[in-house]
Amino acid sequence: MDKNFHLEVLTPHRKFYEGDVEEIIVTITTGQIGILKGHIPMTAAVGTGTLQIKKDGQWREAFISGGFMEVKRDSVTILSSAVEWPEEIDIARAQAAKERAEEKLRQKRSKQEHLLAEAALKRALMRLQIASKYQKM
Amino acid sequence: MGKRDIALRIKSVKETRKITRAMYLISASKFQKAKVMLDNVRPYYHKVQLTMKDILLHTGEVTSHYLERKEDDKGNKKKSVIVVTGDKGLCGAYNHNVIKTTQELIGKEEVNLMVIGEVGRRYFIKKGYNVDIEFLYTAQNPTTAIAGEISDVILNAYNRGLTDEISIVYTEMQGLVQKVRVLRLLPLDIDNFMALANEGEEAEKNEVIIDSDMIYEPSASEVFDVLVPEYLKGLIYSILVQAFASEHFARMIAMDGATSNADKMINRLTLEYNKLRQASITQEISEIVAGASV
Repeated sequence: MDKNFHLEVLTPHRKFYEGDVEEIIVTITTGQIGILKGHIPMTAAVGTGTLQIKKDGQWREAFISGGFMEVKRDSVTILSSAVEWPEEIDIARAQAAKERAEEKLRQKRSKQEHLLAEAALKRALMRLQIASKYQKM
Repeated sequence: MGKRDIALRIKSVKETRKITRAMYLISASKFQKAKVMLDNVRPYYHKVQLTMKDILLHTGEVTSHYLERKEDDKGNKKKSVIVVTGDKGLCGAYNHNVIKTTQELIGKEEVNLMVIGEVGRRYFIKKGYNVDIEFLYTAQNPTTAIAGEISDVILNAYNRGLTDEISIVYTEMQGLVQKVRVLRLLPLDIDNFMALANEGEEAEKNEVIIDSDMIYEPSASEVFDVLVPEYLKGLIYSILVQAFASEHFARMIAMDGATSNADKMINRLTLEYNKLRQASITQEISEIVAGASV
């Protein structure tokens, strides 16, 4: 039996991925979730973390942050503001973003600004983590 | 008009033509840039709306304050309208169309205006409309970061009850035709989604399968709390890109027209100048001939 389902990952800047895959593991706001063919229809909010895609027995990992995911019986659509393959991650930029966010966290700011800085720090750290796993620094 | 006047006129028209041609070239290159962005954003724009429609179809029992209109005790609603115009004129009827549609939309109601783009802002302030002066965004260089800020601002206003209904007026590129469009952003308008999504090229638009087992992770209301801002961000970015492309396309056409009008005018004036010159030479010769034959 065909175990594949259709996956489409879109960002405002490009079509990140489109194709038939075996399994995906996505970070959503409450943790990581794995999806196989025939998953119950679901809508979830995507968090900051990784998107792992298994195709032809091979896993690939990407950075993902924000957006939402719609799971249907035979297809999955992910609409996200940022998805990047490890080799596309700009390490210098992520490093700069990390320092900026840390600086902001050190200052006493409003709660909202604090939350924003925390989210920015999380994104930067996640990017660095994924990049260092695959890229030669 | 004497010869000298015409010569001066030709010179000044040539100067103007230089400017219009330069503006044409600038807009053409900006439009190229916008077109790339537009091509990239279009699938996302359609998919966001289709997915949203899909999700809304399946949310029979889900209630969210994003889905319903709020009314105060007297049944009044505080309405806001976001207007996307250009920062400069000289782009044909582009700004005019947006402003006209906005005025028709507002009618005589008390509406809070949030204006993107200098032309619109100046116009509405001058006419005494209720313009939010802290809402300062230009129409140039649309980015997802700016779209995110804008959606934060309006969500904040909506969630705190400062406004109960938010619409947006913008220009959309449909092939090579521009169309001013009014879209209700909040609360989410299901009918509007149907109409919009059906205009998309995607073939799957007509399949409506009501899947009652749709689950939400972690919960419907939490998903909505994330979904709606993300959706707005994506939508606003698409709208800004659409408007940016439309503006430069309109300016390109307008400036191309202006340049060819200048060409025509120069031709006409040159002809007139040559006629006058010929006439004066002929006259001179006949005077000399007349003098010599005496």
